[in-house]
Amino acid sequence: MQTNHDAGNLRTVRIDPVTRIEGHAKIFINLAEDGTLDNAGLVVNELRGFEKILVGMEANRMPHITARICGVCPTAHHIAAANALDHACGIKSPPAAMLLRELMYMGHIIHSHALSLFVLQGPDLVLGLDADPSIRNVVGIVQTNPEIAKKALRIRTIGQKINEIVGGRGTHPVTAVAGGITFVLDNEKRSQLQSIINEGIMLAKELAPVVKQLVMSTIDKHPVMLSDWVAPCWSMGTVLDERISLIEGNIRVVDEHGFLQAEFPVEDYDRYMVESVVDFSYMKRVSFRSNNTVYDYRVGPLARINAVKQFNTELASQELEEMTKLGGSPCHITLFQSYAKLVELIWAVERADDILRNPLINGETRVPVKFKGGRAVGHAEAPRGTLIHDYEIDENGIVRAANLIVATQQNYAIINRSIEQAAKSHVIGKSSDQTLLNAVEFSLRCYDPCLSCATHAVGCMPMEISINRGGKAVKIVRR
Amino acid sequence: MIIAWGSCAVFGGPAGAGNIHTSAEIVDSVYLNNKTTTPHQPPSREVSALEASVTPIDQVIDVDLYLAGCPPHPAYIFDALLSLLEGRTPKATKESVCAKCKRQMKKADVTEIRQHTDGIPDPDLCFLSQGYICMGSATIDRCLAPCPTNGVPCTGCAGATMQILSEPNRDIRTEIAERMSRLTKIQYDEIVKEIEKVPNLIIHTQWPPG
Repeated sequence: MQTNHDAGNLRTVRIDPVTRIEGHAKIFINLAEDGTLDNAGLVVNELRGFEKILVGMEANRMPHITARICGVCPTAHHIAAANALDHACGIKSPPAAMLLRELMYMGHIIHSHALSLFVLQGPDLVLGLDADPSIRNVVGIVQTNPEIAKKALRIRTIGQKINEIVGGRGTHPVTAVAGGITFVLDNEKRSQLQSIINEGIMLAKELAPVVKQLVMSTIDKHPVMLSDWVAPCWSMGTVLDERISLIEGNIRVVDEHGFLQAEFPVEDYDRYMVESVVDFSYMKRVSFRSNNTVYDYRVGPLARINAVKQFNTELASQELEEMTKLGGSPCHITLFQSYAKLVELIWAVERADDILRNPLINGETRVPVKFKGGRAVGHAEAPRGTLIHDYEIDENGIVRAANLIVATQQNYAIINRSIEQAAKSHVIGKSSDQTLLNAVEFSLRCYDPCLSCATHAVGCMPMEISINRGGKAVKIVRR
Repeated sequence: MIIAWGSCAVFGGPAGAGNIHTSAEIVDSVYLNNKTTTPHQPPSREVSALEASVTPIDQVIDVDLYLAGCPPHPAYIFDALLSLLEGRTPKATKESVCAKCKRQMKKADVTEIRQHTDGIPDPDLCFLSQGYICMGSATIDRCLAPCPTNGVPCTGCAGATMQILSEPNRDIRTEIAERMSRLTKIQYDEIVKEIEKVPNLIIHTQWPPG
């Protein structure tokens, strides 16, 4: 960490880099002349332009190419694209194919949530925001609690393994195509899957009380998280048969009080979602339009729970009840993103088990398709929230236009609001740079923003937080 | 020590396909002419200006180790890291993806090229024998062939084989067209034309290192 003091009362603070988020970004905090908070925000400093890159490509390769948008949530793009192509061809993939896509997806959710909870965010929860950054990482967790760390990493591996067995590959899966899935489940794969899913259920049961305890102790250490780090807003999720669903169903939106405001099939998304350009970031923000007014909203685990309120498995339903007792419903406590991830993690292993035992999974997995020309809209609930792919495909099966709406864009307004709250309670007028800056980072990580998706960008831009006062940068902190 | 990790760092990859368009065209499609975006000038404060083009890493800095693949299979990652620790050259195979693919190459009477989604491919027969263009025979194995094994033709994500890279008279199109025209009744020229038509098939390999 580096601190530079300029003349007078002007200070600049930068954190370089803010580690453990996906992609690369920087944060700025602007203070007014009197030292109070003016505004704060997250800057995303890359753009690849995937929407343009896809134009001219064969539509049938979209599930493979768009997976490459992100190495962290490739399966979300893979499935959203395959769903979009089914829509373009005017078919519904056979039930066995939808079950296999969902099983692949459950593996992905287990992997992603375990990674997020234990590796990316875990160090904050286990070691506390005040811990030295040199140990506030996954190595620090392993040293403090090797048994738990082993189990946490094992459940992530199990998720990735499920994804790999069903998807053909763990990172950048390939088996979901227009018309279904490219293989039929054989007994060897089935028994492999069953044994790791059984292990996953066991691990989820053991890890659940640990995560819950960590969330509670974080609140004890930082009571401000319950009182001030609360960001009421609208919530979006996907609903199927009145329960949370991740790869098919309608999109449902509730307001900050939990009242239903909209429910629609994904192809109507452009009637409701409005992207606007932010002048300090390559990432566009998305708002929800309802009756000619635009609203900030949240997507992701907490938003899905707020919008849909129900799971279809036993352990997840019990854990959700616990979470609701502690955080209320709808819940807007930023920290409870972690608790929501835990509930979804439990659900994902239980759901994977249900899918594998469903006799329908043994049916035909693929139907032949033809592109007729026209629109292709599909979606998936990425680990971090609703992801929409929208293509125009000509009658030769070539993509002529593409539009992508990703989770972090939709969380952008709320992320910035949470950074402002963290800045107010932990930065202004406090003396320890480290704790303050960790707090700002933490509030960002609660949303687990995936910036490579959000700007469809890759790259290695270091992250920094700068604190500006009276329009001038006043302090730089690096580590 | 610099490792070019993955096909984007080595060749450019899908991100490198951005070079087909100018940055002005990309900015236009994202901020000014986008179906769900309220048109607005692109961001101007806090952000850096966009680069004029996308380049593989070795055009900017010297690279010690190339680890192609999207992503490279863990077996190759381990081998690469162990070789660095042990101070030896990685043992990475020079074989093509076909070496790890269990599909049977057979002569067939197919007369037309089939698109990836035309019909449902036979799970045991080589894609080329069935009229599907598969890049496996021209692609270096950095993956252990998971795509053809799971019903999906290879897209060549790890880049060209050593033969193609080291022999100036061979290239990806002619290599595949030669093999496929021998296996099927599809004309050589027709196959070359088909491969050239489809940007997806060549984007991973647009920057073969010399």
